[in-house]
Amino acid sequence: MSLTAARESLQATLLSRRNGAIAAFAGFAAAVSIGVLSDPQLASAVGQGVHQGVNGMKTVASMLAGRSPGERPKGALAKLKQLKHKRAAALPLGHHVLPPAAAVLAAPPAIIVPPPIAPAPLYDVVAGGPPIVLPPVPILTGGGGGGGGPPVLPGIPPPGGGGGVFVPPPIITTAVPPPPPVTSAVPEPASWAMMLVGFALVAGALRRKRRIAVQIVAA
Amino acid sequence: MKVGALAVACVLVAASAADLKGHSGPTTAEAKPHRVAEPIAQLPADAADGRIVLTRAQQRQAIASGTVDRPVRSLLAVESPLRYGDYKWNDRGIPAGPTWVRIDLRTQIISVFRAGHEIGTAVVVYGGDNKETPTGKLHILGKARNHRSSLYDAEMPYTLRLTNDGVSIHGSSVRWGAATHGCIGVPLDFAEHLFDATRTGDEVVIIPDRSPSQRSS
Repeated sequence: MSLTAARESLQATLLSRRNGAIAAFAGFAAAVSIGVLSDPQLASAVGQGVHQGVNGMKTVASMLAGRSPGERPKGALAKLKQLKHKRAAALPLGHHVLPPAAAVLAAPPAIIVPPPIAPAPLYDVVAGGPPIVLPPVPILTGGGGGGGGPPVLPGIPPPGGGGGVFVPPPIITTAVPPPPPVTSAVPEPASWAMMLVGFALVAGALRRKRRIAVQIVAA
Repeated sequence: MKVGALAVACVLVAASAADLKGHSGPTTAEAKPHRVAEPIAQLPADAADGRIVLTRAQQRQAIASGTVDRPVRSLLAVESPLRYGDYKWNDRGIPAGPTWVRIDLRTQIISVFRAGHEIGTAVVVYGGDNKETPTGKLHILGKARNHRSSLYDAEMPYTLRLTNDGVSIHGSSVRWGAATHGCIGVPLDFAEHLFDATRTGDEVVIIPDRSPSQRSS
């Protein structure tokens, strides 16, 4: 994201939050004033303008505290950001890694339309709405020639039909296709251990082979 | 053979340590904290507009009470409490000089001083209870105008890095009830001003929001 985009995003967030918080501001101001009044320095500064020193002089501390919006409330903290792995863990199962937008666009369509062999559509897609999905029913259509018999069992061609075509039920997926498994650039410890064991075996075999050769020569 | 390898390893370790030290601390000539400037007798007429020029008694009282640790000549005139996201910046007529930043976590206010005069102030957000912002005297260790955090996968524009583990001052969404993971978040426009006004090595004083005994309890 460019700097300009980041700036616009932050400003938009600020504006929307400010507008949305106008109604809650009055209640919050009362709460803050209660909290602030319990603090002598802030009470003198926020509640009554600026604090007057013993000789009628405004102190620097009171002038600085007079600009404060109040202390931060306890226990109502909203995190601005989350760690990457925590954010991923918070997602529901199956959605841990979302593919990039380009991959989603290039992915095959979510709805697999059955081949035109089926005489009538199994479902209608309402424009602008979610697809209405009928329960999957295996379709066994009799091919030409033999006159396809009625379906007997799912997956078994009808007897005597000859040329019956089994059309699997349409697979309808509404979610994003599962992401490819993430492979780490750094081998896991188990991989390292297996590699070391392999090297040790090779080295042992070489040593053994050399020793046997020496024995043969010596013999 | 072994002695030679050990000597090479020692040289490498020493070289890397010296390199780290050079990057992490204000040891270079540019990174040295500025010396406190001499008092400025009078501000230009246009510079005094919109600011409160402190008397000598006020200056002495501020240092004696621990509010500031160096002379402050004037403050920006802020008539009413700032709201979250608000800021003021006015460096008109303020001469060049040592720049330092004061951040009070309790009042959530940041103040930027140059040559003893306050040139900017804003409301900040800071670290939550489990990710507390470090306090005390820190220095700006590095600057990055377009920083993106790889840890949080987030934009952190106008970053002024304060610690080696990444605690920084940067542009953020400053709103009520928000907390950070230890950084100081300032309004974005203010962050841009602050970024341009400060240099590596400038001092940042962060005043805790509560006493150490309250923190440990």
